[in-house]
Amino acid sequence: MATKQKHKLSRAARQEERAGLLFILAPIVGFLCFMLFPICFSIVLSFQSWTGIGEMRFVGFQNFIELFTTDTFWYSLGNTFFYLIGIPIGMVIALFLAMGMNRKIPGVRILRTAYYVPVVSSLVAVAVLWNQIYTQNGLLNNVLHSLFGIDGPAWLYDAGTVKWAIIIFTVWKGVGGTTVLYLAGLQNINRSYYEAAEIDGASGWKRFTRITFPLLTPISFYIIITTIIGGLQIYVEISVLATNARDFTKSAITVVYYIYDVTFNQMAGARMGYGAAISWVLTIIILIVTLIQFKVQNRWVYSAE
Amino acid sequence: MANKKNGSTGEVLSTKAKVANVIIMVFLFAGAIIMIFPLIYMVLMSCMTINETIAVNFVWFPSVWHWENYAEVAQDPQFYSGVLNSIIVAVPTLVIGCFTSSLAAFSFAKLRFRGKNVFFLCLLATMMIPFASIMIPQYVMFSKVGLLSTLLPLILPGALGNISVIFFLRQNLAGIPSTLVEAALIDGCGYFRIYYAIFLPLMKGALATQAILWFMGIWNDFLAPQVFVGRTQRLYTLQLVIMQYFENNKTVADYPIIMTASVFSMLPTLILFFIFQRFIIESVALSGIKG
Amino acid sequence: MNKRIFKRCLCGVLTAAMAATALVGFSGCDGGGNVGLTVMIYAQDHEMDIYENMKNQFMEQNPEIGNVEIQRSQQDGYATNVTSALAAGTMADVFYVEPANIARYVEQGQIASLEQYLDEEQQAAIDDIWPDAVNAFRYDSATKTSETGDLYALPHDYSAFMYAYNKTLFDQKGVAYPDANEPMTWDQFRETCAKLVTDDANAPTWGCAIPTEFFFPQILYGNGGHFLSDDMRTVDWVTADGSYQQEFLDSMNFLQGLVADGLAPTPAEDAALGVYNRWCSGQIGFYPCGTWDVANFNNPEIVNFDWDLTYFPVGPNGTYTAARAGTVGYAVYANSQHVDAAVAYIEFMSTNLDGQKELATGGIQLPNLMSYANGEFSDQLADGTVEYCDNYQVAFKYMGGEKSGTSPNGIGYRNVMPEFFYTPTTAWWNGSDGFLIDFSTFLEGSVSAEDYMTNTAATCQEALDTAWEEYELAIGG
Repeated sequence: MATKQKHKLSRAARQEERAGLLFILAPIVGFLCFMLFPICFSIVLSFQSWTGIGEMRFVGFQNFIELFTTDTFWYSLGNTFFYLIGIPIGMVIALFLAMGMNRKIPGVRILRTAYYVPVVSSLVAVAVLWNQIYTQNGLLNNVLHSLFGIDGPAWLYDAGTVKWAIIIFTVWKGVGGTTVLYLAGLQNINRSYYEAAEIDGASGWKRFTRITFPLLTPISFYIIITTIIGGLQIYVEISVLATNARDFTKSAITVVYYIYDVTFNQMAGARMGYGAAISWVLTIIILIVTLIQFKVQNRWVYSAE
Repeated sequence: MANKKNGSTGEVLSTKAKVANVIIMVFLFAGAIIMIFPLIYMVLMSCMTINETIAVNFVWFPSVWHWENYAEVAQDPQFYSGVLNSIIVAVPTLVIGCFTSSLAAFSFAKLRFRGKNVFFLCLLATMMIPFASIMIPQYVMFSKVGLLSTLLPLILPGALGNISVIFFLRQNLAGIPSTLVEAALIDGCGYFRIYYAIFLPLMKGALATQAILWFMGIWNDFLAPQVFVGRTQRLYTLQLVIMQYFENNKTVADYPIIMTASVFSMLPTLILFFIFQRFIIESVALSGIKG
Repeated sequence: MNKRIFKRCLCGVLTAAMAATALVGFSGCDGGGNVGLTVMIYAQDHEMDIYENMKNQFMEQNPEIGNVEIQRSQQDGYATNVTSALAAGTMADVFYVEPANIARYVEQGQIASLEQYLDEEQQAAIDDIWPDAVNAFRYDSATKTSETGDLYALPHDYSAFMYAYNKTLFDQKGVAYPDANEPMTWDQFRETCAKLVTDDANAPTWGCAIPTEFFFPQILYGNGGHFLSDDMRTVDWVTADGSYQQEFLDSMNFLQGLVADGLAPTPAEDAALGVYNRWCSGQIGFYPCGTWDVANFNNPEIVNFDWDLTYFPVGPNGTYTAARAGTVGYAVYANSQHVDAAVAYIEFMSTNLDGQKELATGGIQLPNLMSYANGEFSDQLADGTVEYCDNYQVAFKYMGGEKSGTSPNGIGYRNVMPEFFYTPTTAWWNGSDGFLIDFSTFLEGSVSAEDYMTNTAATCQEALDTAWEEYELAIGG
């Protein structure tokens, strides 16, 4: 009897396993077809000297030694992490926006649209626009001047302001997207929780800390993971907005910008091996950051299980 | 009795809530103006002369509104071919990709199988590799199988599933108890039916949200199109067409026409967003009530 | 009701998806015509029209070659497209190269030597192209030297970065125009600039502006200085014994002095508005002007004042005034199946008189052909049929490259290919560890010329060494 039960269970488990694997087949095939070869290729490449044509030469760890002893790499890494400041700022704003929009407010549709417009606009187009906005004689400083009488700096030139200019831009561009995600999360929260809390006479703040915030943690976790992974790969913003900054390599360059710079910028003077080495160091850094987050998620992310 | 009590507390709250709503509304509208303002300025710039955009004394409004630029872009067949190509890339990617992604998300969230976490981390790891380091090998691969004169290099990888969507849906399902699967199994449902009849409707709102963001991502991407179809003008996606406008006018820094092109590049997404916002938000709300 | 709409939507979307996929499938099968030759370039729209015309003319004259397909890339992504196409072996038969890449491509066997394919008639046509432009595409593999040896590409264009001045500002200040033939000395230049300055915060004007990358080389070369040793392997502004190259040091101090004396905007003032905008707004006396800028400067919507061309000033050690040369060439892919046809095509594009006329009168580039440039085209510039500027001869004097003794005071005119064209990468110059990277700090005056030179010498040498090491590994030397 007991053995029969066991047998049955394992058959069900086998079925579940088969279904589970079958359902993830498409992404796995995608991974094998489009990612596996490029990844292996790029790993091999990071130990070679190669310009994209001709033969590769094995150089051992030379690329890695070079990058760890090059100041530019360290500056780029420092700047890349600095830009992440925009993520918590954006998340807090987005959470408030989402909670506001989740109420029955007149004109909420217009509001929603207003906040999403930056998200739906093309990055290149708005980056070119902000280039104009940030000039010393541009829109931002003129607004600051007429509202507060402040004479603003040349935002994208000043080494002290260029990073903040980028952060403001990324928050402006991204906050709408985060708001949509939070809104989706908010609307997934079962109303009965709030009704129960209401009966118990819980205050608004308590409802937020005991219900809203915990139930949003899976979404917050997702947002943190993906925006950090994306944020550590910031490139287009830098290439369109920040390249004229004073002391660019110290004040604004990012790792991915550095990768593009060494790999492509010199017109097939391409140092693809070195570029691959940098990208692998970056990948490993992102991997470590992500794994740490997965490790600590049990402590704060809510799960129904 | 219980009903009455409920009703009265609801009323008391609603006056309080009304005040809160007004305050919140003021804040939200102020924020919205800040968000929109740069884009209004974009439209203003598109109607200026070059001189006005680079003037030493800041110009707020064009002295004469030059809408000609819009007519120029609107008459350009390249623009329409760019829109068409972007649609050809976006629609199959999204339709197939949303199916594969939601199926995989269901599997990752609710089914038990060996190596689940390894597979998931492998997929997640692909997000961490900068595109710069894999684009050349990918290009070589696509050239070897002869796909470079088509848009397929831009479609296939996404159609087989988008890890960021899978991840989001997986997180979204985290709050739903797995006992739902077991109950359905006892009722004699197959796994695909469980996905299709129970979990897909539950994911509908989240999936629609992700689809919109994904669409924006595809629509606004230019690095991948630049690599894969950069040599084939008839396959230029909208962003490449816009880049061409930038390029045609960059020696002069002709901001008016660049801004016009930018406005045009945003129009299709804005229109789509207006149309689909209703559908998405409503479906989100619907699943919220049901849950 | 809602559900039905949803279903209908879904059906519509699915149908659209299938139709789109079918379209994609089909688009892979077209282009089935007889493609005899593929050409990969980048171009602006109005240039593209002319290239298409020229191509059609070429196809008419050479029906045996069949269809020529121009694959147009974008300048911004061109490097990526070239790298990936070469890596995958899918390069077009003909593609654009810069002089800087000739050595590498030759050593790696990526481009074909043109020598054995050119007949006498074609050779004669090429002899009519500006010699400096042609020589930029020569390379001698045996001695590893550039500008000599086999010809590997033909110039698509030849440009010069010259100096323009704002005539209206000169008139307002009552300053005499620069001489049409004689370049200024540094002292004369400073004096002239000083007279052009208006010290008024609301409507300032300056004598000149310093867009470093496009200005410093001209000043340095015009003072007889140089960046690197002759073999392009050693940074030469500080020598091994730690002494400074005098010509270089003087040029640096000259630039810093222009800012310190208020003759040029500070880097911060440049950044505030963009130095190009200041020029266009009439605030700058002298400003560098590429041959491609001329059409823009003649557009009253962009430059609303009178302007003309002049020469860069010559330093105390200089024997010639230096403009900065630029050229892009048509090369033939070594693995091409149609090298003969490809060579015929590039010879046509580079030297065909009708095409050159169309490009030159269209304001896109100056003619490649000297006989046309100095003959019919000069006449058209002189009588105003083609709009340029009064002193158009500046361009041809630079491009003709008369080395010395041609001006009244015996000064020469040269259009110099900067040294960073002939190093494996330009990392030491404008890369993230390059010479230019902190130049604005230097111009602000917070670092002395000596310190800046010492500081950059080490990092630039390192970047240069890396470039050469990588280069030699890559070509297997």
